[in-house]
Amino acid sequence: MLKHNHIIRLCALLFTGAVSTTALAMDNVHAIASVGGGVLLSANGSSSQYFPIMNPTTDEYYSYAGDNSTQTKGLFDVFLGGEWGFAPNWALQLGAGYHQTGHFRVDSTFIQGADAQSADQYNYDYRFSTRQVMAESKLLYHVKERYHPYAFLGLGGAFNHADEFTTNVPPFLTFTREYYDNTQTSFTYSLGLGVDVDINKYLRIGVGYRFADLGQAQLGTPTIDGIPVSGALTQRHVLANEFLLQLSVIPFRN
Amino acid sequence: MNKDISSFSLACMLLGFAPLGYSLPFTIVPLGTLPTTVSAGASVSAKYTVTNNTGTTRINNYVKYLPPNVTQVTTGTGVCGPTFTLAPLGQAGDSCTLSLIVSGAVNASDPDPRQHLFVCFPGGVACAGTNSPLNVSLISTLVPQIVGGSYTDGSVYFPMLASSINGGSWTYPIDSTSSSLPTDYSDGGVFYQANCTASICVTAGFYSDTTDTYPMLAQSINNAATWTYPIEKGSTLPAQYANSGKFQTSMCSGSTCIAGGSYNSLTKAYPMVAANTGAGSSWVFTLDANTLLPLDYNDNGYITGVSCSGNVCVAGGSYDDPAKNYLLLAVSTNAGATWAYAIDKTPASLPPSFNGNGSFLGVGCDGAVCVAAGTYFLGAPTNKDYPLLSVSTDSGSTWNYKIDNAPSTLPSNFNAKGRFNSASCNGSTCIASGRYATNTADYPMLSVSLDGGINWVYKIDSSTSLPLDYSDKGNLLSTSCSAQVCITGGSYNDANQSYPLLAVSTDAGLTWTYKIDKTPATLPSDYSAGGSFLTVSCTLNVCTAGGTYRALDTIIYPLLAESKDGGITWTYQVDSTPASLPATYSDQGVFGGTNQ
Repeated sequence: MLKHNHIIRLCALLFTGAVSTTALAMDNVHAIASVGGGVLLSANGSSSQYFPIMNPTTDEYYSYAGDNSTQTKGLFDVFLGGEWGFAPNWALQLGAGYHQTGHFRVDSTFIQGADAQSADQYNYDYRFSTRQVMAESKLLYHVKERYHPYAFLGLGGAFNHADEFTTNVPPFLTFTREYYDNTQTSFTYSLGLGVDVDINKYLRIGVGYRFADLGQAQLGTPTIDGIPVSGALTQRHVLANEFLLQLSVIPFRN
Repeated sequence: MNKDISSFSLACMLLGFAPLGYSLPFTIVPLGTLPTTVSAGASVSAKYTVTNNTGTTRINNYVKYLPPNVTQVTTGTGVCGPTFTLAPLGQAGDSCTLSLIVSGAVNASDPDPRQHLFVCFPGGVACAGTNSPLNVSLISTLVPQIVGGSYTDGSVYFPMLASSINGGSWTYPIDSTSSSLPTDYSDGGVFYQANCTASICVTAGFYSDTTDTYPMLAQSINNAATWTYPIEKGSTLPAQYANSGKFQTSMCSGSTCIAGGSYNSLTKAYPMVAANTGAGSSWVFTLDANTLLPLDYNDNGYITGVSCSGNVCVAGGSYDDPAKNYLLLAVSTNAGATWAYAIDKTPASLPPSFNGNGSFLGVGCDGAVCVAAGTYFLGAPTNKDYPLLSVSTDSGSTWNYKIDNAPSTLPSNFNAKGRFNSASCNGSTCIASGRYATNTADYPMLSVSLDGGINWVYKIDSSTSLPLDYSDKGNLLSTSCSAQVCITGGSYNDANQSYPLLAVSTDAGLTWTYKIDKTPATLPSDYSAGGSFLTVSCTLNVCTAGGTYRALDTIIYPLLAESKDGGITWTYQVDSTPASLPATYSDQGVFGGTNQ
C-alpha cells in the first residue's frame, strides 16, 4: 500500500512540475491554486460482517451488523496546478489536489456467543476520517469571459484512518474483539460539476458538487484480551457526496 | 500506521456498567454467602457455581484470572479442577463448584479486567466473569502470641501457656493454678507447640492423672482470652485407647487445626491425628487405630509434625511393620477429615537405598507447597543417618526427595548424623533446619529454597558463617517463616559449654544473621549455661523464640525472646525475672518441651 501511495504522489508532482514549467513558456498557460471548504455526506453502505467459529473448542462467533446511516462532515480542499487555454472558450486545469474530512462514526450492534443459547447482543462503534491525494482536472467552458462552468475528474489515493473502536461489553463480564487503529490506502476517484466565477483578473470563486468513492475504511489487528485473532472489520466503498466552495488564485496572469 | 491501542476500556467505564443478565459462555453465581471481610494473616473461603451455558460439552475449561489475594482450591468432590469439563446446559455434570481461598483485601472495582475472576474455554478468548464479584476488606486484628511449655513448683510438673494479646505484656492463662488445668490433673503436664490464627488458638501436649497419661489439647476461640480442653481425660479419645496418649505437635491455619502424636491400645502403639476439620470447635480423631493405616502397619506409629494450608493438611512421622521401621507421611485434602498415605512402606514412595529406619520430624505447608523434613538410616556398609527432605508443589498430590543420601544434596563436608528437625514455608520461601556431623564436629544446618521448594541451598552449615566461638554440637530445632521474616532456633557449644542460638533472615530467607548466641549483649544478664531454643514462631511481623537456660543461681528458667519488628530487634519477655514467671514457679522451666 505504501508503494501505491508513492506512485500517486509522484504523478501529482510531475503534473504540477510539468504544468508550472510550461506555464512560463506559453502565455495561455497559467499557474493556479485553489483552496476550498464544504461538506461531505457519506453513505456508509451496508457492511455487515460475520466471523465464524473456526475451532469449536476455543472460539465464539462474532456477527457485526452494518451501519447504513448518512453523515455530514466538514471538508477541506486544496489544489495546485496549471490552467491551459487550449481553445478560445475552453480551458483545462491539471494538477494535484489534497482533501481532508472530519471524523465519521460507524455505529451499530453485534452479537457474540459460543452458540445461540450463550450469545448476546452489544453495541459497537468506531470513527474514521479520510484524506485524499489525487491528480485532478477541470474542463472549463468560458461564458461571457466571466463565468466558467466545469466538469471535474480526480484520480488518486484515499488514506482512510479508522480508530477508537469501542463496545459496551461490560469489561468484567467477558472479553470481546478489540481492534487496533488502522489507516487503509484505497484507490479513489471523484467526478463532479460546478461553476467558477471571476472576481477579478487574479481571483475566482466557485461552487461545485462532486461524487467520490473513498474506498475502504478498515480497522487494525483484532485482539481478544490481548491475544491476536484473525479477521478485519471493514467498511467497503465509503461513498461521498461533496458540496464545495472554492477560491482560486491565478497569480501570473498577464 | 498508527499502533495506539484504542481506549475502549476507559470509554466503557465512562458509559457505565451494562445492566445484569447478559448471556455468556458460563454462568457464575455465588454458592452460599460471599465473605466481605478477612482478618490480617487469616483466610476465608468463597465459592461459586460455574455452569456451562452452551448446548455442547465444553472440555478443558479453566480459571484464567483471579483477583489478587485469591487462590483456587482444585481438589474435592464437585470442585472445579485446574481444568474441568462441563456437560451441556441442563444435563448432569453441567456445573462445578469453584472453590476459592481469600487471604487479603479484594477490590470489586479494580479497573484492570485481569484482576477479576474469569473462567474461559481453552485458548482464553471466550470467557465469562461474574455479576457478583468478591469485595473483601481487610480487618487488622492483632493475632495473639502464645507459647507453651512446662515447669515444676518443686514437687509437681505443670504445663504452662504464656500469651500476649495485642502486643501487650505476657500472662499465663494456663499454669499450676488449678482452675486452669484439665480434668483430674495430677502431674507431668507439658505443651509442645502453640499458635494462633485470627480465629482460633491451639496448643497440645499431655498430662497424667494418678495412674495414666492422657493427650491434652487446649483451645481458645476468643483471641486467647479464655481456654477450654476439647481433648483431655474424659473427652472422646482415639479408637481402642488404653493409655500413654501424647500430642507432640499441633498447628492451626485459618480456621483449620490439627494435632498429632501417638497412643497405646492394649497391645500396640498407634499414631493419632485429631482435627477440628475447619468446622468449629469440636474435635475428631481422624487418624487412629481404626482408620486407614499405612501399608503393613504393625506397631510404634507416631506423628511428630503437622501442617495445614487451606484445606490441605500433612502429618509426618514413623511406624513399624512386623520387621522394620518406615517413614510415614499422611495427606488430607479436606482439612484433616480423611487421610491417605503419600509415603509409607510402599517402595516407590521411599527415598533411595531405603532399607528400614526413618522418620519425618517436621512438616511445613503454605499455598500449594509442602515440605516434610526428617532423617533415615542407611545400614551396612554405610551405617549412617542421612537428612531427608521431601517436597510437594501440588498441594500434597506428588512428592519428590530434594535432599537424601545423594552427595550433591548434602551440606558441606557431610559425614554422618544428618537429620532435619523442622520445616516451614511462607510464600515462595521454604526452610528446613537440623544438624549433621563432619569428620571433626557436629554442625547446625539450614537449607533454604527461594523458589517454592524446587531448588535448595544451605545457608548454614560447616562452611558458612557460624555463631560466636563456635566449636561443636550445633543443632537447629525449630523454624518459622512469615511475611519477609524467617527464623530458626536451637543451640551450640563453644569449647566449654552450650549457648542458645537464634538465626534470623529479614529478606525471606536470602541472608541470615545470628541474633542470639554467645555474644553477651544477646543473652540474659544472669546466663550461666544450658541455653537452647526449642520452639520458634512468627506471625506477620511478630516473632517469638521459646526455650530454656540455667541461670547463675543454678535454677533452670524458661526463656522467651520476642521481636515485634520482623526479627530485627529482640527482647526477653520471660527469663528469671519473677514477674515474668508462672504461678508457684520453682525450677525446670522450658518452652517447647519438658525437663521431667
